[in-house]
Amino acid sequence: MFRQTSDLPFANDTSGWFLPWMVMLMVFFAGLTTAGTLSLNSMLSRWSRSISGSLTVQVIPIEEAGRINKKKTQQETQEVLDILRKTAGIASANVLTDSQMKDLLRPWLGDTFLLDDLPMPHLIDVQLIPGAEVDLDMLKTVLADRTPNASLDVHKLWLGKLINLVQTLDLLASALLSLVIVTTSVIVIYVTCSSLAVHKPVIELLHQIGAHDGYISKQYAKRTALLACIGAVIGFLGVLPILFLLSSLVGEIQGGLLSEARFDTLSWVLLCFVPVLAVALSTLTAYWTVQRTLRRML
Amino acid sequence: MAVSHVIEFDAVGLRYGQGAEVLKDISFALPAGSFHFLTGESGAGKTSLLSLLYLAQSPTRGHVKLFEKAVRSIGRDDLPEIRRKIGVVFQDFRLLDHLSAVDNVALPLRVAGYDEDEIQKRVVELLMWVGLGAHLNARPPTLSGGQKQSVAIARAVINRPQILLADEPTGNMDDKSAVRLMRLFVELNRRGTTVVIATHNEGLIRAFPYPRMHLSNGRLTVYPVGYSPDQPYLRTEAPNV
Repeated sequence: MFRQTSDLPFANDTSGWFLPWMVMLMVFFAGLTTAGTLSLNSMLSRWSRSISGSLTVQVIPIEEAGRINKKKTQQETQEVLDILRKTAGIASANVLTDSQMKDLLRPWLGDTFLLDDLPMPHLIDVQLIPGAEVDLDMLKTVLADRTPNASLDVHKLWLGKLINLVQTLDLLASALLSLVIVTTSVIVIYVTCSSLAVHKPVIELLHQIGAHDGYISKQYAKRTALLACIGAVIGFLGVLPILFLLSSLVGEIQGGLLSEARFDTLSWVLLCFVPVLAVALSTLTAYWTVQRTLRRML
Repeated sequence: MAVSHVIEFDAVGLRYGQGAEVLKDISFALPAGSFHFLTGESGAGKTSLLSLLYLAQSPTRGHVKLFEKAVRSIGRDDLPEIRRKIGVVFQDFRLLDHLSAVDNVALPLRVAGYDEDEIQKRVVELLMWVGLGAHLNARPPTLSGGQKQSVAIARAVINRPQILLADEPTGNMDDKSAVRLMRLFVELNRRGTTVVIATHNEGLIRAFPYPRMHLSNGRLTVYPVGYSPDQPYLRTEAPNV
């Protein structure tokens, strides 16, 4: 016999009809932006973990009369190894095997190439003692003096540039998210104000029979939460297939930088907060707007 | 012992915008538990006076006291508590068309936070009493004028208000229904509710012997029982009700 619906005739109120669509779009964009940011940061973190505490020394093949002198290249590589192994703070120094080199080149050249056909440098993977300070300037000088074809690759420089790039993208993503939040809030305020104008006589009546502003605000908050919830769920469901598709495409790129862009459980949990936050933001904005507007009424 | 006045007006004036005053120098005091009719020609200011009483308007000048509190000093957050003590029957009913008769009548209890079992019991009982037992779930657009008025009256009295204000409450009713509803008001009055009924129905005023407040050109005169604006010095016999 008793209905538990709103005292305000929201069913006849067309002002709220486009709210779910707007929230859907906002959640879709915010979801993609968040997913992108989380993936980039996860990728950066993996690179950083795998690179920190290591160096690479590259020995360029020595050419004589237009041909590579393998013996001399081998001797210089051995000399570099000797220098490295005697340097304080270095735990190990090993030349990458043919198999490791092939693994590195496979994403670009496939399986059908022969290493001997390529003028490949010898790569030496250097692992540092954790926490130890290595005098890199001194090492560079020594290598330059004694092994002119060897060059030291300090990953920090390369990583620093990547960090800058990712931080810039993070900043852009934050700006985009802020824009989405502001836009959603403005839309909710507009929709709520329109609805308040439409239902002014009913609100006056509710006030007349003793309703507190909170009683009316809660009805608006409940209605907005419902509309935002519909939009948020649809928007979130729209993000999922795109993420799965991208994830699957990235997974196919083996050994490349992008393959490190994984979406772990924590990232999924954080992504699930996007629709929840959208609904919470819409609901609180509607509640606050009604409270503020009713304050101006008698 | 001092008489407790639930309504006090002191030199109250009301104007809308920059227009002429619709109420001028209104001064009166109604003791708790009193019953008054409010009469006057159309446009004399009855609805405006009632709107001051149910706090829909603030006076342009003068002082209004309700329950011995100056209206100007009542904070916005305290207004709902004061309004819950005042039941109003509007001339245009102001029912919510999307709600059933039951839900319309239940509104004052819902906003006051009563539990649903209590609301159901009281609302159904009252709607049965006003003769709407067969229309509990009917929505206002499907009800007749008299039925709508009954719903509006039920909504005004469901919360057992301390003040009951009614603007032409029997305007759409036949005489028998009007007398029946007046008896409800009288019963509420016997239980301590202060009642003010704006009406044009002279028959009703004659049938129920209560003083009248008469508005003419925005000015108010209070007549004791048996006196009327037409015959201010001639007391008429109050009939048995």
